[in-house]
Amino acid sequence: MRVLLTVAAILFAAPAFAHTGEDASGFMSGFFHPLFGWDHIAAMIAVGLWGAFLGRPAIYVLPITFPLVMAVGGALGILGVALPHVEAGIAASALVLGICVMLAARPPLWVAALAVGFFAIFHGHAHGTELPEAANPFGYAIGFVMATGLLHLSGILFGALTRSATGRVVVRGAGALIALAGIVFLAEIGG
Amino acid sequence: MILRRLPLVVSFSVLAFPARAHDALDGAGLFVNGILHPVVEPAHLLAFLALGLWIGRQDRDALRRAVIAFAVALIAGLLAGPLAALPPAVPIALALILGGLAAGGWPAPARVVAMVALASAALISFDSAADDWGLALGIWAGAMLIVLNVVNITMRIEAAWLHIAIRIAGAWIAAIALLLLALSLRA
Repeated sequence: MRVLLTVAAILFAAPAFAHTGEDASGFMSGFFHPLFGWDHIAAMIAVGLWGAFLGRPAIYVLPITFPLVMAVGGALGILGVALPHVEAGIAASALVLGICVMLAARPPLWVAALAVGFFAIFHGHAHGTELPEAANPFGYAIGFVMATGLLHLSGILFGALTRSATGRVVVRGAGALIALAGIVFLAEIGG
Repeated sequence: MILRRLPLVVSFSVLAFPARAHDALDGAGLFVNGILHPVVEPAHLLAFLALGLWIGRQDRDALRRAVIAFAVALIAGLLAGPLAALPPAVPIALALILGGLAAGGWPAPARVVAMVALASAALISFDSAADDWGLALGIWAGAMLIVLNVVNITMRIEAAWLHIAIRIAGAWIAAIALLLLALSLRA
């Protein structure tokens, strides 16, 4: 518990920033990039929620594999390798992963990992294309990998509600909301 | 026991070293600049962290051999001076591999762990290109400080969820290294 509190205190301590907004190309930029896009947030939290439904070992395999595969997508973006329909892929990730949570789907681990990995490529690519412009790419990379991981963690912690019957309904409801958000994201792209 | 006390001993010896004026870093000597070297070399920092996370989870025999191999190879490589110029992608690739090993969390034979630690030390020492004894000693002390402290924390962990946290940290390091590798290849 003490370790948890210490980690929480470190992560959520609000540092005083002078010149707010000027560090727009380093750690803060990378950290807030996933947090400023609802499509990213919805998909990342859905990964955590789905992991909670899938149980062990998926609950930790997914948060371990997602950043790695996302980094592959990021590397493609950095190297200028074009990927078609990136925004649609990100929006579709919210829809598909939201549906998986809503249905409490429990496919084999490799299927879940493949689905999550497929969408991770799109998310990573979107981040990666912005990284070369960063004045401090190292800080940007740390920021966005950390933010993504913390979003997963939020999903997993929220997913812990699945231990109770009521909690399962709540989490599946959250999955339905994420899927709905995915439809809205897709409609916005189409519109 | 020795491994548990070593970080403390290294910490004290580092902190006790006098700062020199008129050096590259204002108010600090070459030794202190050496200690701070990982701060200006992100790939080295990532590699040290990942190596510490990985070897800290190995059994005691493998851990002991790895720490000794790393310490000896690093100081030998640093004192030998800049023998070979490495492309910038090499230390980043090293961080990627070590991060992957930490993420996988696989136990390995003691010889393999020691060889990985030795190879890591050799690559880091070549890439550091220390042309001064004070700088070389500083880099060694800084590297040992990071690796031993991470090992010290990792080897004490017993809770299952913290073992998972270590693997996730390894995945994050590998992900960051992969992005930096792409960036260095692009440049």
